[in-house]
Amino acid sequence: VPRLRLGLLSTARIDGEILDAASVVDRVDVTGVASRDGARAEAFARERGIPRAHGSYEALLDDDEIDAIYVPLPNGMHHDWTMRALRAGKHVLCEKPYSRRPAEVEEAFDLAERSGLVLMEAFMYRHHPQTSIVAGLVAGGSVGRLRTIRISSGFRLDRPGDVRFSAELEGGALMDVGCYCVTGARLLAGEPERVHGEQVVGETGVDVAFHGTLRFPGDVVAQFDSSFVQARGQRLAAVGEQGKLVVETPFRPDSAGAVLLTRGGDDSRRDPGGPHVRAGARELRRFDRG
Amino acid sequence: MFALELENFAASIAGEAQPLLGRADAVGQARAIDALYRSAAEGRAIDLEV
Repeated sequence: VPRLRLGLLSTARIDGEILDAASVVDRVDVTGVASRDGARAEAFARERGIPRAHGSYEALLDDDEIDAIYVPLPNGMHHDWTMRALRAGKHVLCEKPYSRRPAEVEEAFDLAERSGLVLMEAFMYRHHPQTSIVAGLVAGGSVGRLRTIRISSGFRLDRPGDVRFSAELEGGALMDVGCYCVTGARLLAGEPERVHGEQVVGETGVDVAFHGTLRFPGDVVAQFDSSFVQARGQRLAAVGEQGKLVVETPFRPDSAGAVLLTRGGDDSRRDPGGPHVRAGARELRRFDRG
Repeated sequence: MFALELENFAASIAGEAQPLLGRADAVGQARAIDALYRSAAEGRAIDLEV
């Protein structure tokens, strides 16, 4: 099997997760990294054992030794740099959310398909077995007919100047953490028919908290809160006519957190772990059944 | 978890698997997020064509 040579477009902190993951995935090598600061790229490459360092993003895209690009740039740069990477003939794994503009998403997938390239939005939680177990339980009727979804995803962002506070770079709580609430609700209930949003705008002009209601086909209603200004925590609850499913760490399923199904007064906990999914991540907590 | 994502990405490029997340997922996300921001800005619910 030919190995995939991946290039990191910038030295963002989340690169560490990709490097750790690539170290346990046989078929993927992190072959290059780019920074607008050449010395920074060199230092990062040396520190993390990456063979090729580039002092500009363009140089990484032009590198013939690279097959695919990982885009961890701020939200407002995703589309432009994804399009440039695709034009350079590279596959793209772009951090979430790809864009808040549907037309940009369509444009990027059009180009990827025309060029025979893979473009993927990086919602890593979707790849974890806990997520398919949760979706399968709800779809399989474990809570009866689904009625209500409640999702929370927030933390305190205490770093002034962080790109997630930047209006120009399309930060904001809905973009950064609320997008998890939106994908989680859509995973369980499909595409919303109607939405209602309420935002708290901070001094930099972006939403530091965003609360939303999504109405889905079949009379399912989801409510969510996403925030940069509340204590760290995430949770998903799917409530049906016969029971309730609560997921303590829906979007970081590799961290310890229970999946709790309550039905007719009988609670059961499930552990979706397996040796493979724990690779490079913290150990999943074990639960007693029943 | 990131490892499973990279596996799926690499397998998709090799033609051995479908990307777990494709166009429909990303477009659906953008449509919902765009509508939520419009709703908050305009102070009214936004209907989406399903």
